[in-house]
Amino acid sequence: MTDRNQSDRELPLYRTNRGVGLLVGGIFVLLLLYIMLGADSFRVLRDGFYLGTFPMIGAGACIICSAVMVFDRFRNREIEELGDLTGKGLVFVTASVAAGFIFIQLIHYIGFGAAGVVYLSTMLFVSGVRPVRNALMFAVGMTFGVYALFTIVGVPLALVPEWAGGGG
Amino acid sequence: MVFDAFAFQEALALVLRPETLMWLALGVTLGVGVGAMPGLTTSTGLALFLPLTFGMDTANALGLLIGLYKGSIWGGSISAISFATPGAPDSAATVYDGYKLMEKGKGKKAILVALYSSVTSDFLSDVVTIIAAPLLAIVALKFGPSEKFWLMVLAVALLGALSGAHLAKGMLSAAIGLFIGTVGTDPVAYVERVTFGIWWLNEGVQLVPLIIGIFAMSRMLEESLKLFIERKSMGDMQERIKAMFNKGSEGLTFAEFRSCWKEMVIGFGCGTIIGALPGLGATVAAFVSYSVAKQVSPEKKIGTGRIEGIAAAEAGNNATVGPTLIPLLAFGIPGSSAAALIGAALTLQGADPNPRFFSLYPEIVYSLFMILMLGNAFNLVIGRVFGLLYARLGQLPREMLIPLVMMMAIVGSFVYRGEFTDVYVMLFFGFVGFFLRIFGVPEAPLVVTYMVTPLMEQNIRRALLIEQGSLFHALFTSPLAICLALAAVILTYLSAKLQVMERIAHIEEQDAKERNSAQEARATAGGNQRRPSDHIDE
Repeated sequence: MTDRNQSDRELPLYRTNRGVGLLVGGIFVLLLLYIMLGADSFRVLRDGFYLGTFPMIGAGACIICSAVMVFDRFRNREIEELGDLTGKGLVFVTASVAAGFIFIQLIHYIGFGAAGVVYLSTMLFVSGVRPVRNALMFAVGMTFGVYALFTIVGVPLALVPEWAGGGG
Repeated sequence: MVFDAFAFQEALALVLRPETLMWLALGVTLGVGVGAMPGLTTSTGLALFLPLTFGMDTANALGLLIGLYKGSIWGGSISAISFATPGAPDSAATVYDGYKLMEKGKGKKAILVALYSSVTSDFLSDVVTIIAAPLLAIVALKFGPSEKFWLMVLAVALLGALSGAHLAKGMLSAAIGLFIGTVGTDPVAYVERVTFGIWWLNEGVQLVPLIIGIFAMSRMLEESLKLFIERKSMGDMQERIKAMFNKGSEGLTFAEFRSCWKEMVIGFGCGTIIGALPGLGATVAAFVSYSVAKQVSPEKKIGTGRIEGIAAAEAGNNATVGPTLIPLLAFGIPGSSAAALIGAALTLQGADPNPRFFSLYPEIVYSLFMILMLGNAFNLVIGRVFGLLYARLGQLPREMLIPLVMMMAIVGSFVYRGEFTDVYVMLFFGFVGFFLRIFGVPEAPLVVTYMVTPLMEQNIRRALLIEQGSLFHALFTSPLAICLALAAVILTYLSAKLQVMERIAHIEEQDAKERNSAQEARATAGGNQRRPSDHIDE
């Protein structure tokens, strides 16, 4: 991460440490409220300790640190990487995470072999590997490489799904 | 710790098995590759290969991970020298002299001095670790719950304060780790709390998916975003790398290596001390060693393409490898992300690092020490034989690397317990970790605090029971507890006041700017350079 000195008027709030502090602080205020309003947070345990003490300390510490970010001498510094994070970029990252979620579901339904090839060929293509044939070939090779690696260390993956006679 | 001859023999038999040696060799081989590839760091590599250790016994698991750790710290210097792009931040200081030597056609010499100084310094610091860790463990055994609590607070405060240029962000990272560590059940009465109504969170956030998410997935998301935004070229390095393989290429003589002794001693000293302190790590060690060496020997003109500069930086970063394990082995508190990952591997093997670790698992301790020492020999041999080949790894297109690492991260977190929920947790923390990276919040304090939070809670509650509910007496039960509490406050204050990390970050930033402008200048001069993806198109 690199911070850059900027004056207040040049930068939108969300690209400064102050903006990040407000965002993170806001999230943890909500979490602290969730904990404090929970039925068991003030339940006294056998050793006399409140059940919610440590979670509240954790959330409280996050709020304090976020507050420091809002008011300390770095508060108006730009977070350069935030400038690179456009709407498209955010969609790309979210889609990458979603692809991981779909991949693990696919393993369940079509087995690691096919799911791995589908996932990797898609990701390779999206990353810029062309033509599609190359992406597919690399995907097949990498999938079986990962399968072989885990098999060697004694963690076999189900190449085919349970319904087709695989390990599930 | 009394020397246990039986455990020593057992450890010797375990470590000298062909399979353990094979895993150690594989670990070093993979590690150098991980280090040499820009975009993959030591932590990413360790997190990625951690799931592979589930099916192994402890010696094999340690062989793979310690080998990977040692190899990757040195491996970073290869791309630093070859492309002026450090494989990991640990090797950023090597760029100054390494790349200048490369441009002069002395890349082979630069890589060899990096290897020899790394291994020498690593070996010496391992000796210090082997002597210091058991002695400190004896001291740690005398600690009561109150002292243990404050020791953990001190470690977390140091880690938070020294993990980045911005104190509040380091502390925020630690605070988030503290919060995540409380999710699930309380560690004393095992009563459910903060589960957000999700049943599988009753067991808490699992260590392995958290680690893989924070260290591997988040990094790959960041790298894939960079790839999405701009396709960086590695430049026309093909010819220079080929030149390193020529028989006529200038190697390193023993006299030249010997002439770097002063810089290696500086690197060893700085690296050992910095490595043993929580929070600082290999990057700081390399920069401090390099700066000290520059100040001590101005006549050598370090920074103008001198092997002494490489020796100082590489001896500095590799000297942290052993000592970073000292807090983990002696107190059960990981002082860095790498130590946290090795601690996680030990926990998965059923050997929780704690002050009684030496008496409970002497054979594991001896195995670890032997592997640390043997790892240096493997690093030397593998580095010497294949070192120059690794320079080509830096050219491996990121378009292929990133999806592969992502797949490994997903599969690795799934096979840990065979639970889909672990993958969800990993993806969630990958996403969270990505934003933390973007915001400039360091990840190491988060993971380390997450790991020590249950211990902190256990210890303070035990102290409360002993002191019959008096919080003041539980917290400040002895002069040592008071000293540790004061140390936590004073050191945090001093690190904020002296702006140590900000100064180091400033040097790194300047260095990065210089490198970027140099690369841009070359790119402009080069004209029709090929993009990494072009290699695949063909």
